[in-house]
Amino acid sequence: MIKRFLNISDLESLLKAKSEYGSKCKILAGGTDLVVRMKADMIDPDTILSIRNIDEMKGIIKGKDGTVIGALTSHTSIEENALIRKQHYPLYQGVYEIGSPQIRNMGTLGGNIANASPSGDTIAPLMVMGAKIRLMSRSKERLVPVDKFFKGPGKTVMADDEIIHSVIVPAGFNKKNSGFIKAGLRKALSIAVVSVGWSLKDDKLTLAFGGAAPIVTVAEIRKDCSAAELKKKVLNAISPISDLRASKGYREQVILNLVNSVMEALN
Amino acid sequence: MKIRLKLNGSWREFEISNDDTLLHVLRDELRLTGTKRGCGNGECGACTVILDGETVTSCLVLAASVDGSSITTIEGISPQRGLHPIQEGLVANGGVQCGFCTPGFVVSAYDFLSKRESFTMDELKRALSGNLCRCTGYKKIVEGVVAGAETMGKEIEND
Repeated sequence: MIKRFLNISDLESLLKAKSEYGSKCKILAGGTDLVVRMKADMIDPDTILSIRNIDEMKGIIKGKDGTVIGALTSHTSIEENALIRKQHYPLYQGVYEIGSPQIRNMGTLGGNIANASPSGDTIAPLMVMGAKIRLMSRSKERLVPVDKFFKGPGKTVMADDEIIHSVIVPAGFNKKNSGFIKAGLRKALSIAVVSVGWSLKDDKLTLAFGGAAPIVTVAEIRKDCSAAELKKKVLNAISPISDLRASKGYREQVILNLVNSVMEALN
Repeated sequence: MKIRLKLNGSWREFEISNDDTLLHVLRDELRLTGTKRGCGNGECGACTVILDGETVTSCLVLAASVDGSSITTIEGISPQRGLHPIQEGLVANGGVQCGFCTPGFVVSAYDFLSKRESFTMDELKRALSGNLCRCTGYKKIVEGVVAGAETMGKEIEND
């Protein structure tokens, strides 16, 4: 039972409410994960802070250290943004693959990050672009590199009084030097069995693996490394489980296949 | 708590519980039963409505969060008498069997078509990808929507 439901329409009120209710409250953005978990009785929050009307946390702007994406920006808005497609191609591909039109209209970038699923379709893209997450509380603000943000499934470094304000993504990632591939069980409305994000800078290839470990993991390799070395590094970076979507062995094989298709396209 | 919604063009005010979904309010409080309850997890699209200009699965929307919003349901798309061209297209092309998924498909198709003058078949199929049908398969549904789009004067581009 939700005892308290607060509709919040500005950032300052959100920070105040978050410091007051802390771990007793849940932030409701798009609801595509939170409401599902509430209905399944996996969580039973005492207080809901609904933030869909905080316009200052929506939108995409060009900043000096990269593109700043407000945490409340919907996947649809990200997909339709020209700057994202030109400069952050893996993120474009990531949001393109999420759920369905309805889910992309509702779901937000901040929500996908905060949910901290090992299969979150925006996370591997943000990893290979070296994105930073701007966290805010009433008393302070900090930037956390995305590869230092996740602690486990559903677990992050965020304190009880902190919120995700925005994400800062370095530019320069186009379809020639970066990408994201998702393998699901069907095209729409599927959670990734596994996914691979990649980016190439000079001779260094950064790979990020979704759905293959408790958090999205990263491996860095040389573009011209041997097939044996590549396989070893990839398998070292992942520790997949068997679950309802796929077995451990299947996940390892699909990850290797996806990585090989990236290498073939590059060489 | 009390909320106000602009529902199919007119403002309505009513009392809801914090836990109520928009789907529950529409179907069980307002008796707008055209919107269907399918999976309840945002996966089947039977409960699709247009919320502030975008399609959403109303089973995942907490009604308390949309106070002041504008909502269009299937009842707001279907005319008082007769059918909308999309509905006519679906009927004429065998795109309706049990009919349970149909309102959701019509809402998704209506939102897609009302935002553009022309489209490709790939764009249309992607726009309908959040709606599941377990009877007909999708071919006849797509053909029905295309027939409706043609009646509406929309142009189909090559992929």
